[in-house]
Amino acid sequence: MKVKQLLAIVLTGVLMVGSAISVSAADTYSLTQDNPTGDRDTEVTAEIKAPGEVWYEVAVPTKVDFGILNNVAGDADTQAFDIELIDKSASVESVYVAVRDTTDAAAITDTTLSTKFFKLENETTGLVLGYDYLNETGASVLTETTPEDNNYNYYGIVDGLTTIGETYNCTLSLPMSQLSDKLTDEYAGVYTGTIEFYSRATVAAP
Amino acid sequence: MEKNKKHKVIIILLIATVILLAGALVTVYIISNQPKEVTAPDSAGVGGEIVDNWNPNIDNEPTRGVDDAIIPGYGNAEMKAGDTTLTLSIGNPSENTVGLYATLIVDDKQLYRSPLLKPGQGIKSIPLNETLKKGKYDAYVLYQIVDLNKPDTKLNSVRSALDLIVK
Repeated sequence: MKVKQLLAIVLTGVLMVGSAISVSAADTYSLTQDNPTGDRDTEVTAEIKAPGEVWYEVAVPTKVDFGILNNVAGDADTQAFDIELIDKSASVESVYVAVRDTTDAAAITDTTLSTKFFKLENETTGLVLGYDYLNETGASVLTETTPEDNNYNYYGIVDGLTTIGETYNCTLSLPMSQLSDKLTDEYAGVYTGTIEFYSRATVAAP
Repeated sequence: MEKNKKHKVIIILLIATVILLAGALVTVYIISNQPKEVTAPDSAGVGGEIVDNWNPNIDNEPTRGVDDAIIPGYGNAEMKAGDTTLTLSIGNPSENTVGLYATLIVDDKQLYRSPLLKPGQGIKSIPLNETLKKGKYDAYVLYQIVDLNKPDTKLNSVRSALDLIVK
């Protein structure tokens, strides 16, 4: 075979191999966990959240903490307890947040208090202090006559958070009267309690 | 004769060059298309692959207060009757400084409980411990907030409601 002919065949083969790989590379793009839509530019014209995706986020206090109780001469020790709508998708109209009724009427022994109080319990002594949950107007949500009943008796504390950054400024209130004449070793210690929230989104009408 | 020998050498060198070049191109192509590996921490025997870069995929930049926990919320989720996995993005936003346990509750039954989710960790496809028939169910993801330094210490919790549609 002549050298020139062989050379032509060989060079043609090189070009064919290179072209095949180039074409294959152009039809694929990198799909990774951090880049789930690939490298291609995507123009978003509408946001529709798929089932199972996160539609919104709310920020709630992580714990109930009145700190050290030493204002025994005052009416009540209070703690700010805000709830904030952190994010929401465009398809969410509002986010409703309520608080579950975990009050324990039998545990609140102080007769000056309503039995519809949340409780803080000293795990060492078993002693209980009661506190109330107040809405923005200062009214107790725990004494509402029509609690939202989703099988667990939730009390509404917001009508619905509709804009990102919107907050509902609640207050926890611990009446100091229950500690009157009780500055003894018997009542000293750490009292703990928790609150369960309930959140639900309403979707904007199409 | 000498000329023929010279031609043969040239041909061999050309063929070798082509083979090397083709091999190099194929190697580069394969390397550039390797899938990214995602390693997940040990889930302590609980099903579902936990990833370290879980993203709630919400558009806006979050703001937060002190001593707060950011909790995800949902609209609905869908699955087929008889399926044993549910596509539901459960996770602990990276901005948090607390741990979360996530439990899927359907009709008062616990269908899945996650291991401890540290900030940034999440699961997008969760295994269910029982199947469901067709219908629409009231479901919740109960997010239990815990102290990362003491994961057995329960703090507040949030029950994020959603509609579960089984087709």
